[in-house]
Amino acid sequence: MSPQTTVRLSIGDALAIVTGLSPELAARLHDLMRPFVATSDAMPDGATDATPDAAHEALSNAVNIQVNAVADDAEDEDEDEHENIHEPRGTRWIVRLRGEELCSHTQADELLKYLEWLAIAESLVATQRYAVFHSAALTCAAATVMLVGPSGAGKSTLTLHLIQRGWRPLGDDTALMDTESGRLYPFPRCFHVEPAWSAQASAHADFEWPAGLVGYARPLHWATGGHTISAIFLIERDATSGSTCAPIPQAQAAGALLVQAIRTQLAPAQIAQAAVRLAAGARCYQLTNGDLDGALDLIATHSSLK
Amino acid sequence: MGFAFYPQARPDVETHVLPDGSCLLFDPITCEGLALSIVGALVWDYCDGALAWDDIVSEIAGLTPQEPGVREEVQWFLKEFTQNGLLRQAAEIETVSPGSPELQG
Repeated sequence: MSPQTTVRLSIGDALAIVTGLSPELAARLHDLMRPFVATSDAMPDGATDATPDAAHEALSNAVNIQVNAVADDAEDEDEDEHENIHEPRGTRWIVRLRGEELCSHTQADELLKYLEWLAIAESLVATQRYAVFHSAALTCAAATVMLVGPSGAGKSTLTLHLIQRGWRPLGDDTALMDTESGRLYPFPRCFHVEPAWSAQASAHADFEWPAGLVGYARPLHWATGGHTISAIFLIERDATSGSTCAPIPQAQAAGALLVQAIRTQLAPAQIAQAAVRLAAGARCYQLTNGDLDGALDLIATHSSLK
Repeated sequence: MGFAFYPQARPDVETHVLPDGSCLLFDPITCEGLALSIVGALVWDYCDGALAWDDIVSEIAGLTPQEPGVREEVQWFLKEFTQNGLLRQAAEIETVSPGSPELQG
């Protein structure tokens, strides 16, 4: 039996503790979630990006995720799929959350993807300080924008291309608002990118490709500190026409944010107040995302604080 | 005479007025929001149980006589409030507010 390690992840104001991973898997999880890592046995030099807070573990809701590796009795049907796995062949990993079994995986890559999702999802639910919205957010000079819209509206594509134009991301699908300051803080989770985009990795020098997972990329440079939102764009995809941008009432933007809010420990009324606070300080637009360049130009034009 | 004739806002519905004059209503029971334009915010403000439905329409239309379609917009918002359950029910009004106009009439 290989030694087991623990990875502690500081996500929002919650702490996710992943135990039971082999050193190899822990190192890959560390790489995948490096900006969130508080401490990890996987790194012999103890190097971490997140700021460890001695009181953190005691004060926050801790999310305990246990992984148990067991021998898999099933036949190994496709040996090629295991070529990158450093675990013994025929291993099954059982994932438990607070002691309750959730699922099992036989592929290391799928296990890592699941652990990344589970740690983030459960930590956001446990957060007590942040209002969380399903939204992209970026900053450039004095402007900070939120891109709000349903899946498929083009938030991620716009985010990737705005980064190439010099914008710094706060997140591509999750926006964290500190309910005390009203400011948005970076959430440096890996982006989920299309295989075609990741296949051109060499063309995207501003990104790293953690843990060797296909479809996962992380910008090298992120916004830092808290940001006041200057503009909110409600994104609507319409490939049949050019891009357009029109002002909308702030209440409409607040309502859209409310729809995209993610459940946390905050009361629903507090989340509504957070949505209102964000919209109240911003200029709000409906952006019809037709042609990509047009949409990017409109965001740049309407996001300035002038 | 029912609640629809004397619209009265549910007191637990939170009203958030934004700097541009628009308004977000938040229903703490359904946890849903309803965004209102400036006219919608005005209609909500008039839903105090003292004015009849038609009076609200006339009052707000009278404030903006140059604006075509205001009557229809006010009607639309009143129906929207009703359908979203944001107005107090008639029985509730009778119990809590015995002085409401429909009981006096």
